[in-house]
Amino acid sequence: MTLQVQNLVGGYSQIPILHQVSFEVHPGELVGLIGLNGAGKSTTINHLIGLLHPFSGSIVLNEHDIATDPLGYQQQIAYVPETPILYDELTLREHIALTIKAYQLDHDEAWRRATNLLKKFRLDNKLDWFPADFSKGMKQKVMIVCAFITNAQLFIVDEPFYGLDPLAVRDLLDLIEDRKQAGAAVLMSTHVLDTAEKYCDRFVLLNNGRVKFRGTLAEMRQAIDDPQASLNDIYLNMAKGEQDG
Amino acid sequence: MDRLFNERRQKHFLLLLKYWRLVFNDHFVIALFFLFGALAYGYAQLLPKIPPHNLWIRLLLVLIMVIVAQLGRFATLVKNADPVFLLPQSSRMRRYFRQAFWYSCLPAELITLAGVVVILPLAMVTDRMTTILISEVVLTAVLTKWSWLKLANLQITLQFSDANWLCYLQWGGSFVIWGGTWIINPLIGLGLSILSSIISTWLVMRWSEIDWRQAVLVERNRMATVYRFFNLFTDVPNLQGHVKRRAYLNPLIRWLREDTVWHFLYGRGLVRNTEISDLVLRLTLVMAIILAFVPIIWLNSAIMVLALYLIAVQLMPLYDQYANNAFTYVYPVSTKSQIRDFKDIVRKIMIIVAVIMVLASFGTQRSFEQLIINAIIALIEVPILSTRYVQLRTKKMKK
Repeated sequence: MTLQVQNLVGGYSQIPILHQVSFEVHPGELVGLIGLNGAGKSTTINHLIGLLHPFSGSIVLNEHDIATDPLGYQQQIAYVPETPILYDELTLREHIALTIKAYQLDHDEAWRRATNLLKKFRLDNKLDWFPADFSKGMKQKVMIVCAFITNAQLFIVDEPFYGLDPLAVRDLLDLIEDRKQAGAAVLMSTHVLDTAEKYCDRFVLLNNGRVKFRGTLAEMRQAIDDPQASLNDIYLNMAKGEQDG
Repeated sequence: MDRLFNERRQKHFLLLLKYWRLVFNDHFVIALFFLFGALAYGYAQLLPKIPPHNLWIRLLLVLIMVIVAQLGRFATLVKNADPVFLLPQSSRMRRYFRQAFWYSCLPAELITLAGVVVILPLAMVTDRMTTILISEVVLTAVLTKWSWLKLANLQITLQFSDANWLCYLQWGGSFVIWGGTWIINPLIGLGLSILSSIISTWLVMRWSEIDWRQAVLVERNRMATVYRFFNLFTDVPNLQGHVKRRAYLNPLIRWLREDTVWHFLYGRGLVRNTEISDLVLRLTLVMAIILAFVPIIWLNSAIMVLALYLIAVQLMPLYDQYANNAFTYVYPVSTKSQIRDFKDIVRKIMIIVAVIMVLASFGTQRSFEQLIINAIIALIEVPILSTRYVQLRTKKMKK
């Protein structure tokens, strides 16, 4: 079971932002999608969740092609957006109920998971509040809870760390680890590089809408010929090259 | 600060102009001419029939002038981002708000004067009014509005932003002034209005530290009202209803069903978001009242046909309410089921509306004939509106 992105060309209007982007995410793997502002991370993710349609290229998850079998594809992904996206008219309890309906989850099992997660994130006493009035961090936690009660095979997590307190960051990383163990794949875009370095198994480095590098940290170090380099160094190196170039 | 306000005033003016042009299209202007003509004619016919020195008419005068005094709000043109960008300028904002005051003053006073012009004939029928008395009333009206606006200004200062009583004072104060004017003597009203203008003006001069949070909130609410008005005539993109829990309507939400994603979302979106539900409710009530009072059968039925259509039109934006929410696209749910569920919701709401209106058409005439005709109209029109019409509109929206 694998997410395969092949020769993806895409963007918002007529002008392509992504050029021939190809990468894979395997089961049990956390892949970090990194790049400077405007490198094309969010555009890539918008294509992966079906918000944008590719100009050319294909996105296939476990033999479900997003273009030909969108429902089968969508059934297998869960998404945590960069900025929390909530329904103004729904309470926290109803957000969870809606997620259960949308993914046709087993009611009791999903609620058991949800209750655990809500407790972990200290939201269990706010079930009947409208999350639209929550703080940024709490809203982000709602998004995480809704994503992680699903049985998704691929979790797409866009810049999850901003606004979360250190405790919540640790809890989120634990959640991701659990799902990895259970065989799910995770694609995470982030700028928090020291965390990414510690937790990601592989990286996809985007620059100007092109994949500049694909591989593990060790492979990246090898590529720039500096065995001690941290992800931060590599990233800054790339940024410098970008400014000079 | 002068330049800032002037720029904003111009922008605001252009915005209003844009919408007014849409409101006053040719047909509407013609309709307005007739409406005002009819009203003025009716008013003129009514005047001679009114007995002099009638206490009820005086009370009516008080009531009208109190309401007129509430029209025309304090427009600050403050923007959401101002507390961030203009905070360092707070001390210099005095000038800005003084300009805003004058800017709000002009239209508000014009409305007030228009109100006075309208009620003066009525006042002259009840009591003989000399030129001096009339000028006293005019002056009172202008000063009452002046102090009303000063009180509105006070409500967005740090010292008074928590003072809810200021709002009551705006009503109560004008009530006392106009009560004094019409029931006792215009001179008393004039004295009171001079006093209140002096006090309120002094208060604003003394305390004018701006409460940004409150100012932004008040201005946002004001603009929302303006947009809501324009929204009756045309689509206003800036308009967002706010959310109320309305727990008492939970049975209605359950009746609208919550078994699928889109039933769940549409039911709650409609009931809890005030934008569409309030509009539908108001229209239904107004139309029901009209149906209850129109005795001519063919006219009553024509209104019924039109009313059902108009209300169905108001429901259509609900279809797109969640178009900006990414999860609408992420959830594994097909567009087909979205349209199907939307039709269900429209059908159910239209059934409630139709039942209310059919019952209303029994009306003051107690006409079973009318009731049955309108029921048949509803039985034919509601299914068409909730299937064919929805299909047509959603297809258009998707383009």
